[in-house]
Amino acid sequence: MTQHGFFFDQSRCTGCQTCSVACKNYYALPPGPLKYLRIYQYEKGSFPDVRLHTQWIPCYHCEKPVCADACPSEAIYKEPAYGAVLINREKCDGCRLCYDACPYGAPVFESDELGVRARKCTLCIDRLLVGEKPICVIACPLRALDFGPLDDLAKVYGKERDLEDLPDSQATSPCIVFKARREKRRLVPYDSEKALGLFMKRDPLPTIFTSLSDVTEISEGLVGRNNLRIKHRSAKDLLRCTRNDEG
Amino acid sequence: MSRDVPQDRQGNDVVRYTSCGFHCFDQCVLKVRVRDGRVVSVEPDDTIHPGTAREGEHGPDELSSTSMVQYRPCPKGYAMAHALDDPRRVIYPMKRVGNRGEGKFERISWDEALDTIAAKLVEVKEQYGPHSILHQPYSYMGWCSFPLSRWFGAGVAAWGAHSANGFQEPQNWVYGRDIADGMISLGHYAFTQDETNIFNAKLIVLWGFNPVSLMSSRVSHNLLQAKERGIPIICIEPRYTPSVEVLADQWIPIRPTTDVAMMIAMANVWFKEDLCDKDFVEEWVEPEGLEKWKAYVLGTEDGVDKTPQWAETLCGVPAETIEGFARLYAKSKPVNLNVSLSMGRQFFGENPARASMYLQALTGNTFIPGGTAAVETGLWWGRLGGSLPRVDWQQQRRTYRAPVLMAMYKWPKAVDLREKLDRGEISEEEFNSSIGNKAENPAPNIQLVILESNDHVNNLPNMNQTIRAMKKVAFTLVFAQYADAPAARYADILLPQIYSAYEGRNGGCGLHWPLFTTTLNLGSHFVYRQKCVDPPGEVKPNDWVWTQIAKRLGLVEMYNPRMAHTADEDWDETVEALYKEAYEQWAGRKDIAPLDPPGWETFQKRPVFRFPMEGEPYYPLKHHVEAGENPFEGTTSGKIEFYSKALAKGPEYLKHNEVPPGTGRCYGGGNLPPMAQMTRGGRDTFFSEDTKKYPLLMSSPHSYYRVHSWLDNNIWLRTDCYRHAVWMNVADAKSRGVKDNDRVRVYSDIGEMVGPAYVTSRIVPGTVVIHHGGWYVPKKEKTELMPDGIDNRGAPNLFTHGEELPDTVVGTFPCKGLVQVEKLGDGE
Ligand code: SF4
Ligand code: SF4
Ligand code: SF4
Repeated sequence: MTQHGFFFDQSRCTGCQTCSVACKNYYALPPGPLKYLRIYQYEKGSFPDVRLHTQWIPCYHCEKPVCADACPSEAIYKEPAYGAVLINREKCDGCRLCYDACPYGAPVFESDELGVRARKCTLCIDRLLVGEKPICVIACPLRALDFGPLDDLAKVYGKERDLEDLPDSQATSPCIVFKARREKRRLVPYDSEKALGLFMKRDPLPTIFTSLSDVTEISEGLVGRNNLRIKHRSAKDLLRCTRNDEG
Repeated sequence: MSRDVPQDRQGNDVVRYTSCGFHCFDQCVLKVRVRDGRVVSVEPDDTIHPGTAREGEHGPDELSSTSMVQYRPCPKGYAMAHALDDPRRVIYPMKRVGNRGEGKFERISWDEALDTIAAKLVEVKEQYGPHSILHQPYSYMGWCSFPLSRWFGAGVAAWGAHSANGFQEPQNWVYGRDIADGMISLGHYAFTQDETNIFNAKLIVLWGFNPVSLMSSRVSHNLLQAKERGIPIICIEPRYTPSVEVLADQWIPIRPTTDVAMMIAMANVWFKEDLCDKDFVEEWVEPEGLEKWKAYVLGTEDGVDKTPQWAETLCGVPAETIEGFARLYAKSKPVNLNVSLSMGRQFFGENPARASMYLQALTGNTFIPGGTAAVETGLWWGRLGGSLPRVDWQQQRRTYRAPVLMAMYKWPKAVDLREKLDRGEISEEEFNSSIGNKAENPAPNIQLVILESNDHVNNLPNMNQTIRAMKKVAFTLVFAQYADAPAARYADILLPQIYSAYEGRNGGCGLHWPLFTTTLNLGSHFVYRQKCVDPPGEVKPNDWVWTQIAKRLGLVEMYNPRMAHTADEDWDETVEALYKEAYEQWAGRKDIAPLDPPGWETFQKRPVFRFPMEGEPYYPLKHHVEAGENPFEGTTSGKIEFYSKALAKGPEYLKHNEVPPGTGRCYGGGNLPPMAQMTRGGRDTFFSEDTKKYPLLMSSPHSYYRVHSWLDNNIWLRTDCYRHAVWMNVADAKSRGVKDNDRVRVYSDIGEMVGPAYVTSRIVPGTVVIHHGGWYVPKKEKTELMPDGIDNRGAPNLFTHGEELPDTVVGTFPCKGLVQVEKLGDGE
């Protein structure tokens, strides 16, 4: 077996969801929570020192697939040619123990109903077998993705298997190489505190807000999408977290 | 339903290629897999470099330099295919049975629909004269898009455009030529740039421009490549967009409607620190006007020195930042300045439009490799624009030319005011001035409205005014895919709209885009849109519809002679044959043959024609530079003009506009300063007095998941990918007790909606954003302001005013409005 895997360049990802929609379209997955590939977009910081993060989460076809270990029905197996972690749907009885075990929340379910069988990214095994790359990888308009034997990817892109905010790769050895988002380059001076003072006032009309903390202090639940949650309590929660507000 | 191993490759799959073809700038290549007459999947472009993830690159993409790359679609390209067999789709002609606005229709035959339309055209023309028929949304830029107008002898043309409007007239004043010029002579498109021109820049500025959302394919990828090659990119924007995150080195947040102040302050720095490009200015800028503007900038006349300190209180951008940016800009030649066209779509939008042109002129960046003329951002027509194969429809010479009688988006106003004119409450001159008509022109009496293509009710400013107009006129005809689309609700006759990218053959005889299509932002390729499937029900191509109406009016030999006798079942084949003929003629042309286009049959296997953009990229006015021509011969002085003597005449100028430069199609009321300046106050601006009542300035930028209002009800996008919500800054939310996902009520004196709030630090305080194209979806609850029901979805044009007089010129197409927001209830 040659273990294959993905490369994800976070510095190129706009969170557009093309890859995810292309995957759904190709596998004729219905609208709703059955997303083999989930895109998360979330902000960090406070105005005007804010950044936007994206995460790209299919199944990472781990070298240590804890999902398979957790499955009492032995429905999950490592496919021999590419190292894809696949679910035998005949055997799956919908207990969701794989979901509980997977740190990335990769198994997905059509609804919250008990007994619904687990589904998951297949590494596009059907395409690999005819010599094609996964559809998500060739769909990205900004070319943020790549695919290949894990060793080759490491040679080209480096060995980084961890990314800020994602679970530690030690647990499962996910088959992905990451490139993290970039630090911003400040080309011209910018004093955030002074800017906030300016944004407060609308002279001679009433002020917009009254103290800087109105903008910078953010209590829990106030802001939409300012943390990453990839394990979901319900289908609704998954959908809420994997949408963005760019539309 | 779903499948793990989907594609039965040994089976009967047919692979077709097309492009989206719905108003999108990109026109990406879609590979469509068809099985048993249905689309089973859409896959990305594989007509070049098939099976490649990053097209040979493991770093900056050298291939981009020649643009020999794939045109990968965005989510819209995939999701649209699901709309083809959407059970909600209108698939038969319908007639209204309730009142206009109720959205009740019943199925009728094509014969009944076509007979009714033909009869109404005759009746309205007889009763109200030739200036009573309006076809939108493409009666603009001096054109009348009613397909039969030229021979039927009726119809109204309009000036201005939805898109480039705020820049179009300023271009005439500053450069002496405008976008309409370029649209007509595509191949010699004066101000554009090849996408690869950006690689020659030393600084790229995206001012109010979010390409990731609007031009997600080639333009965004190219900008990314530029960034990875180390070219500095600065984004000046009220929001921290995905473009800022991925493309920009630095974000400079700025209040909407104040950009012109920052531009003026930059010039102030340049004048004081002697940073202008003296040689360029001396050769190309008209000196008297420049002195006048300089006096304004330095405050020698009004006593207000427009320094960065002056600007910072307006823009919210610290003076040190403005200074630093001005200095960086002046020393970074070439600067590739990309100002979003939306900056012109605001009251006094002509000011930032002009000022951005001044910035490039003062620094000598207007027409050098790597530079831009700061107009038509993103409209990078490239090299094939004017040279696509074209079918010769052999239409007969016109017998009627529709006169330009209004600004294109003023027709609802023209309907509204017409009664007052008829009752003698206003004079004809007042009427004309309000709608952007010349004082001496006849007053139009719009009584028959045809809306074909994008949802004009949803997409015009002040939707309630448009709705009122749709209810008042004698007859309305709307083409739409859904009966509950905002425009469709007001139709007397509702015709099913074809998805021309996939179904049937809309050849482009009438209004519709031809089957050869290229990006608006590139142009070294084109796609032939193959037919993938038959349309459902009785859906027909628009060209077919107009040909049948023409038959009933006895005009078919004039409108579509080559298909006058084509049987319905032969329609698509005949169109294909005409395209084959056009392609073969084109391929044989002296200028095209060296590009070695394949024969038609080979071309049909991968119907995308590309050629490498070799040599120096096209930069603005390159053709003129190389031919040694003066590109500014359209201005009075033959130079770039900072001061418009015509505008200095005051309101009289617009009433009788004999504008010497350019196309000069701007008429009507209004009074605009003769040169770019910052105007505090004024309607729907950040410093308007009205903010005391409606303190939040709303903007309506493009969405990632719609093109205008197309696809807003597509559940593959709408509930899967995004939440259509009201963006609010943390401070504005807190002071209203709002937290994320709470239901909020948004209202002003012209509209009201409810929807969820998106609370974020990604937007400037005091502003909100509701993305453009969200449908007006009325609730049962009706109010005086919302007679058809309060909006339950979020249509921003409920809040954009069309009422700018007398402050600014009548042509602005505003996409901003002042609103108040209040909390209605907790989120789920
Ligand atoms: S298509 Fe590319 S840019 Fe878009 S979300 Fe996927 S990885 Fe990110
Ligand atoms: S990502 Fe999760 S589901 Fe996929 S192999 Fe790893 S543990 Fe299993
Ligand atoms: S590898 Fe294939 S199945 Fe997995 S997310 Fe990508 S497109 Fe979907």
